[in-house]
Amino acid sequence: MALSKALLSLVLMLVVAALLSTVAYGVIGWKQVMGSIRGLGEFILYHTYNIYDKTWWAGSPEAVTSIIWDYRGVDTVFETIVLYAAITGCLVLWSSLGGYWRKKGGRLTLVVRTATKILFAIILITSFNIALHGYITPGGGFAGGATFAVAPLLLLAAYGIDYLRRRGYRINRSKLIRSVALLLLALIVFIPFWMNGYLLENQAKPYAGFPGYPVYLGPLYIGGSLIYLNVFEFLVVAMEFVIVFIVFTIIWVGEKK
Amino acid sequence: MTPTTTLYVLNLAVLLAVALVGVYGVLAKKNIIKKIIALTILGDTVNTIAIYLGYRVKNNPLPPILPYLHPTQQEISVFASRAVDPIPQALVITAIVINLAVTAFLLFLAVKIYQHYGTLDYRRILEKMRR
Repeated sequence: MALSKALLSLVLMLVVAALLSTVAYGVIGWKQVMGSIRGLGEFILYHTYNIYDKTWWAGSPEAVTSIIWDYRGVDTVFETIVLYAAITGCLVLWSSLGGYWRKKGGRLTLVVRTATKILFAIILITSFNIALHGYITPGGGFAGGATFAVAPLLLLAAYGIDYLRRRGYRINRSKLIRSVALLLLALIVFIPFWMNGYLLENQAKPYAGFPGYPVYLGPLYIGGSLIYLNVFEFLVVAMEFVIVFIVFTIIWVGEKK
Repeated sequence: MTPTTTLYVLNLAVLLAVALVGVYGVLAKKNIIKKIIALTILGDTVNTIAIYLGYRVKNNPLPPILPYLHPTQQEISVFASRAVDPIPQALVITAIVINLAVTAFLLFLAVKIYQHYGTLDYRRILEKMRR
């Protein structure tokens, strides 16, 4: 019995290995791996910040962010929906567990608490920086939001598990910020559509009437719609991760039935 | 094979091996939490493989970010011919976030199962279900 199970596991592992190798080969081909990348990648690299031929440009020198919010923006919109649904499911399950905050758990020493105060500010500033510079440097809404969500966790660890609730924090506030940010994100997505463009349009295209989001704000380079989408996505991801992390920290399973 | 190519192939083989460890964990572990850990290992490894496939072994590759706000025509051409593929990276950041959301949901289900059955061992859960 045990032997047949082990054999089955082995066979399945080999099948997955063969599958992964085939996919890897099919996606790019070994000959190509060694020298060049696929044509689509090269097209995007060439056009993403081509100030001499603006037909297909995204207005951002950061190719990854321009794919996330311009060339393949619909992917990201649906991903945001998946994230929203998953977190909502988590909250439903949490409320079915009782939905209360655990009261037990002491706080840590003065040294740790002081260090946490300093780190808290640094983490917040770093996360804002990652999110706001997402269109010219590596990073963006997701990376910034994930960084932001660590900060309240540190507070819970250093000041005791009930600290945020005593200071007036409620999970509903995170939910409110998340919903408002999602609505603003949808607004940025829909504005070009209402102005004779298409959904998620960033820069002007020859076949759409929308003139494109401004790339410069006075002397300041802001990269079209990417900065707004990054900031709103930062708020959404940060608040959803904060909810998940806090709920996991304060979760209390209760007595066995 | 140049040293870079050898390293590339070796790293890819190691990543595939780690992915297999993830598959093994998902299939063979009895504890639900260990299954979830193995699932995250599998997901992260597959993401790394995806990024890895967009790498250029030759041509001294660049990151996919143009470091100038007023580039010349030649700088754009050089960037397009030497930077690594940005598409896998963009898809992987999507996959990471979805991975986290799915993991969080699975963990909540695990908590719920523990509350209901008092154990996370799936054999004992099955026993209790049959009763």
